[in-house]
This record gives sequence, structure tokens and C-alpha cells, in this order.
Amino acid sequence: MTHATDHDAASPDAALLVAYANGDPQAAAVLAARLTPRVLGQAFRMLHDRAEAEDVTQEALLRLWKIAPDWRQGEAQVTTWLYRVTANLCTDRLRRRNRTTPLDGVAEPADGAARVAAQIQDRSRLDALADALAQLPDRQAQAVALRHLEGLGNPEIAQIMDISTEAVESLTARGKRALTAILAGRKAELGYDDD
Amino acid sequence: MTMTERDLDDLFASARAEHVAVSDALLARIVADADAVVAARAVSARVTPEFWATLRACVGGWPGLGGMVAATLAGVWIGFAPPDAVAPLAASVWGETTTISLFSSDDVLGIEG
Repeated sequence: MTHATDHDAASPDAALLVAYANGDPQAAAVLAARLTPRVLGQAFRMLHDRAEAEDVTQEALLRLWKIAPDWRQGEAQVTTWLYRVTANLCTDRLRRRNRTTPLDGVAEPADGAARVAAQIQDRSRLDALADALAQLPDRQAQAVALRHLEGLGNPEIAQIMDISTEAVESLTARGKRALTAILAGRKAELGYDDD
Repeated sequence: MTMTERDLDDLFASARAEHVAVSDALLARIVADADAVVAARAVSARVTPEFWATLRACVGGWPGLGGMVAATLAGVWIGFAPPDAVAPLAASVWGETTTISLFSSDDVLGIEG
């Protein structure tokens, strides 16, 4: 088996994708090695489940392989496209998870704290965050995850989600408020002390 | 006791700090997918040429296919503009052309005086 050339390693993603579509077997290996860590990281941070994150990663890249012959260089960045596909696949998973293992809705601190504490007492903070994300509307969850888990700027998120930067700001603000409300009452379990 | 925005930011920071390593198995599955997609595309790309090759073989190769095309074009041309020698034959086969008027006279509106 031959190793990818230095030229391949330095090539832009889109050029490699076109090379793959034209039958260059090395291009896919280089692209996979380059893109998989980022996609897996994004999926894992949203889902906090390694097996599910790996499934999402494989599916996202499979979609990339399939779309390769129709890829038009210069119209979109491969990473932007992958962020979008991965975010969509993750919210699909979160929605399914939320349907199969429903948690309480926005927690009512008055009577919800003890019950929620029992539900998540063995879970880590990040499990709790993933569960809370699952309760947000898809677009809010995606915007919050891209902003606060991936650390992307609003203009880039706007491009990924194909909305305006103002809409991104609105979605992330509402998403954060909703997360705060959902996680209310779990503060002690999550290991945050009072100020 | 409520969750503050700072608590949430701490939670986000914890999530961002998490790194998950890519396993060789996952990478192998992804590359195998890429190879499978290429292979499937190659198979579908071969189907169309095979169809035309089969058709060509049925009519006797390129000369046969060329003859069929020429005959088709000639037929269309004769249909539009039959030569004089063909017109009587066409009349004997299809009959004479007859014009039928739906009105009792051509000057149905009486505008010719």
C-alpha cells in the first residue's frame, strides 16, 4: 500500500474531493484522515456517546463520498458542508433519544429537582448537557452547539445553517436561556457550587 | 439555586476540552465506504455503454446501425417531400386526396356579392 503524497496532504479539501470523484484512490484516504477527527469531535461533543458519534461520523462521510461527483469547487467549503450534515445527523439522534428516553421538560425547580437528580445521578455533566440539548428545538441545539461546543463565530454558523447572523444570535441566546432553565435544579449534581 | 450563565459556560468549556481519538477501525470503515461508493459508481457507469454495445451488435455493428439511421432519415424525407415517381404509387396505396366542404357554398357569408 502506498502512502499519500505530500502534494495530497497540502491540497485543499475540495480538490481532494474532486480527485476522489475522478478515481484517485489516495484522495479518499487523505480526506478521511483529515476530516474524520473533526467530524467525530463535533458529533461526540453533541451526543456524548462514542458509538453514536462514530455512526454519525461514518454516515456524514458516506454522504460526502456520494456527493463527490456533483461537488462544485468554490461554491462551498467541504468543512462547512460537513458541519451542517453532522449537526443535522446529531439533532436527528438527539430527537430520537429524547423520544425513546424522555426526560422531564423544562425543569420545575419546585418539584423537579429531586426526580431529575435521581435520573442523572450517575451521569456526568456532559451527559446532562447532551440530554439538555436533546430537549431544545433542532435549530437552537445546532446553533448552540456550533457556537459554544465548536467555538465557531456567528458568520460561519450563519453560513453553515444558511441563515442570517442575526438569526444565529437569536437562536443561540434563546438556546442558552432554555438550557439554563432545563439544567436548573441540577446545579449541585453537576458539581457547581453557589457563588 | 439556579444555573447561571457562567455555570453553563463552564459546562461548555468542559465539553470543548473533551477530545475523542479516531480509532483505526472507524477510519478503515470510512475508507472502505469510499471505495465501495467508487466501485458502485463504476458498475453503474458500465451499464449504459453495455446497452448500446448490445444494440449495435444486434443490428450488425456500426455499418448496420449507420444503415438504420440512413433509412430512417430517408423515410422521413420521403414522407415530407415525395418525389414525382412516388406520388402515383402513394395515391394508389392511400387513395386520392379528397376535400370535403362543410358548407353548401364556398361563399357562406355572402361577402363576395
